[in-house]
Amino acid sequence: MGFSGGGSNVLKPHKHDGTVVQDGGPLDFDNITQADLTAGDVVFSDGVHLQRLPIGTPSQGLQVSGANLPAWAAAGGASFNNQSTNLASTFSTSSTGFTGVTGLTHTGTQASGYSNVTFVGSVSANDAGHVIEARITKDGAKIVQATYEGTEPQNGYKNFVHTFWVTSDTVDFDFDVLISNGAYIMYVQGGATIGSSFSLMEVS
Amino acid sequence: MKFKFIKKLSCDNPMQCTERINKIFNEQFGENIEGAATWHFSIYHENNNHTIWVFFYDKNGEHESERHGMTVIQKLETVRKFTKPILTEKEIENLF
Repeated sequence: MGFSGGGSNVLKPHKHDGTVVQDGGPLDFDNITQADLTAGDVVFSDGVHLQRLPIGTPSQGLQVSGANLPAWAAAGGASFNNQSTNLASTFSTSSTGFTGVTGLTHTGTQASGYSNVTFVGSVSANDAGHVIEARITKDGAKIVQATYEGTEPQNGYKNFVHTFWVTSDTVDFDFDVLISNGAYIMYVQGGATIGSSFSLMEVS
Repeated sequence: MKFKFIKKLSCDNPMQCTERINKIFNEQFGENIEGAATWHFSIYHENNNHTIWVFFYDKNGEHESERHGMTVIQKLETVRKFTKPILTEKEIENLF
């Protein structure tokens, strides 16, 4: 139906469809069309009529209400709670089975969500060609493990970083090591220059 | 069997410290068994507060270590029972 069809002065029903001749053209919202609105209001449809949603408060985010309509509510972004523990240990062993490194134990407690645990360490051995294995355990069970072999690290410390996510409420993390040949020795280095540390970042 | 010693040792070089004790222990406890271990030692090098552990394996296939102060047994095929005479705690301590 045209915007002024029929030759009368009566305004005919129209949709401001720009593809239809004499339908009023596209409705220009930009600084022209007015309504009884307040600064910051958002307009939405409830399925029958347009409705105004007053602006929310700072830090609120636009969410969907139980009635399936837009609503302002507390923003649901992630919150972070970082626990960081710097641990230093200088440890050596000839053990061919995993043995816990004294001083590299961390107990983390999280209220909710997920925790990111990062462990930084360095290992060495007094002879090349023998495998060093280093692992992190959570409550006694392995969660990440690394193997070092070949000519390095022969009496030269090799640094590494392990990072992983956990969900348990309270967890004990331990650093275990072994060397594949008990006739040799492996070392874990701590200290000021190359430290060993656990950090636990809680995201909820 | 576990022996644990707390010693007032101080070391600037943990590798040299370990090699010194390793030489002493190997002369006393070393057994030439290809591909197998009958004992091991570990050292925590805190200045003036070294902890030294020596484990002599009691059974074939059972590795012993310590976690949180408790002895942990792990099944390990490369472990053999220590067959040499085991020294007393005092005798071991007098070695280093």
